[in-house]
Amino acid sequence: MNMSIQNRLGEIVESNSNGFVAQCYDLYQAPVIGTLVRVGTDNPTFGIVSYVSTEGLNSDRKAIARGKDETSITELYANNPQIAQLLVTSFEVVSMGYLKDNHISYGLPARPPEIHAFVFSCSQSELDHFFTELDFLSLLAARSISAVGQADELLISTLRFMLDLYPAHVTFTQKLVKELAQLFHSDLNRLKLIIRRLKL
Amino acid sequence: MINQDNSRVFLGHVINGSLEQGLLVKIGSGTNIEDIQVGTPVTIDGQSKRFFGYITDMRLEWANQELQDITTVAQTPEVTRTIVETSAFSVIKVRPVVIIAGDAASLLDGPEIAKTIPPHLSMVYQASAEDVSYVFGNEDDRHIWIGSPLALESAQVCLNLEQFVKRSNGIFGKSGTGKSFLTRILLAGIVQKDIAVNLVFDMHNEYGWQGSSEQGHPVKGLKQLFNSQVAVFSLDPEFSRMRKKAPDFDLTIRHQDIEPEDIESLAGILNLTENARQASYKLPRELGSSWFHEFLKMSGEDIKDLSARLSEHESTMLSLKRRLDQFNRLAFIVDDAQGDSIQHIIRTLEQGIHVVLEFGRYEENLAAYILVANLLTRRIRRQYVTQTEQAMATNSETPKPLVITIEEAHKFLTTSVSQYTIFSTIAREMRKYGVTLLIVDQRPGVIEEEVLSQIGTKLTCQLDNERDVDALLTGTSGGRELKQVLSRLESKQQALIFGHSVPVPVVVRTREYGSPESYKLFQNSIVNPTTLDLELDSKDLFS
Repeated sequence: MNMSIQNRLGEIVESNSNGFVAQCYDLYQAPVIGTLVRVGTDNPTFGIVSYVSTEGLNSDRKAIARGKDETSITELYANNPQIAQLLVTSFEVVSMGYLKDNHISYGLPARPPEIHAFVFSCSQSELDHFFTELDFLSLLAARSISAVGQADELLISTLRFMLDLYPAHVTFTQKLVKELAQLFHSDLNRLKLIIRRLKL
Repeated sequence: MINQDNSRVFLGHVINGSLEQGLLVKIGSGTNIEDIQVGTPVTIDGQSKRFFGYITDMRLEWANQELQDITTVAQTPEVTRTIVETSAFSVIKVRPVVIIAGDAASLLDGPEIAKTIPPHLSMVYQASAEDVSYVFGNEDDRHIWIGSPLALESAQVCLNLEQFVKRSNGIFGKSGTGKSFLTRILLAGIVQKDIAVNLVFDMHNEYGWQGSSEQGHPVKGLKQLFNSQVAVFSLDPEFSRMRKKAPDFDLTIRHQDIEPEDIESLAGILNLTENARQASYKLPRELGSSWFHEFLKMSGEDIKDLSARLSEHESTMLSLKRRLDQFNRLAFIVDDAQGDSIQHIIRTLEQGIHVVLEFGRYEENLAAYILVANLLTRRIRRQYVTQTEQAMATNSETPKPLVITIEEAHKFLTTSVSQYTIFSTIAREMRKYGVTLLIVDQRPGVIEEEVLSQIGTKLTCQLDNERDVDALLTGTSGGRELKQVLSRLESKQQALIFGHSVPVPVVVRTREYGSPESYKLFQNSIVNPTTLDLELDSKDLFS
């Protein structure tokens, strides 16, 4: 299989300056919240997965309970193959930066990505490149509440995603903590909460 | 680690401050606060001027006070430290004292007093060896190398001896901190540079012949270094012979040399009443020039008669005699028949030969020290005053400046008795007659304030007593900051120098004295180019 197809996570179905919504090709195959994803191949936009949802294909038709006589959810799905066709999983992404002349610019892209543009998972080198600087954290912190309606959940998820990428990298952790401390110097309770949640 | 930038050591940026309080300098992230010491000389690159000053204080700051309790949050100390470091920073306080240059590269003709301060974010560096030599001069025929500034062993702090001897000076510090070494260096410097002539009242017999270091190693005295340029007089020839170092001359005091003023100078140590002091002035008139001898010989009956003739209370005269009786036992006080050795000392000094007066076993006898020091100094000063006045009247050359070194000054320059001693007069009149003091003492706090305020340059080793520190710094510009510096001197080989002959107060590690190399540096006399030129000129003229 083509690499670009293999790494494909979905396709954009809604797009605006702040971010976009992408639909997955397969049910429940969305990346986890806090994942860095890429849109496009030339001058790609990067964003962080902020919200995942699975709902009926047609907003008028709600899902109904079907498993009264089933023993497990796997059995339920197996006995009702139409379900997979009637539901759809999609994920929201907040834009965090874009690549221009091989240089990452943190912030919102000048134009939102196009509808039907493909969303890819990032390669290790792309991740390394994007996380070289941490300037996007201020944007992420500002968007965190509005994106998921929960204070700092998105930020904490992203930080976990980043720390998991470099588990034994002391310098990276230090850099991250330093950035957070500077970011929240006027809101220490928020800083303390985040540090505690990250178990640092 | 300290950043090296073109051999200049960068410390930080000016962030705040005032001319009066000093500048606050935020130290750079690459600089460890533990590498910086209070008292270190620094330069500050302003926009159009370069300043020279010294570090007076340092402290740790928080940009965010609330962060102080963050220590309980993170699970690992490293993370806590990282968080803390984003808000924590170190600040040093710098006092700019002089302006040394228009920009970083060129230098002014001489240091100018700083009447302004550098702007925000001016870069602060540790002073370089060049900066130090520019401010304090290089060792030459007038400057003597005293030691190195803190954190800059390669630089030499020099003292302008010509300026130095124009006023009375003081070397202070509690015992065992290196006062005697500092004194030896200065005395040797004065001899070597031929700036003035020394008269040393060597109470503990350590400057003429060999003295000893704190560890008990012998160190050479002036006589051993400069031989014929120095004459050692001794009040206790027997002591000198016991140590197999024969003095050049024995000093004896004739009865007739003792004057009522000498008794007055002892008022404090002998606990004389006002009446007894007054009465002593009547004795020469009644008993003639040998009054001292005559008076001490008197029996109870004689005293009674004498009291009647002088209309003094008998008890006053008896108590005066009782207190003076101790001088009868001093072997160096002799009959009038012997030669005038005081005149001998004066003649020696006139020839430009330095005199060290050893007290031998009288080192514990403070009354003897005060008596002899006062008596000699008064006679010598009288001579200097006459000669200076004559020289001024006839427009001829004034006598060579005389530096009188005295020890344990706090015992006779205290507020209650200093008015009676000649030394307080000399300190007050300063350089008028070319006679100045070099006071070596451990309790400056007890010395009369007025005398202390007249001291030109103060070289201070470690002092513990708050009163001593305060007394030295009273009225000194930047006194509060200097107190910080002074209170943190190491107990050995470190001294704070401030006052007339240094443009900027400076802490030095005193140069080494005691090794063969160190002696050589003093013995290599620096040829004065002007004298050499003159000799050549005269040869040309007469050839």
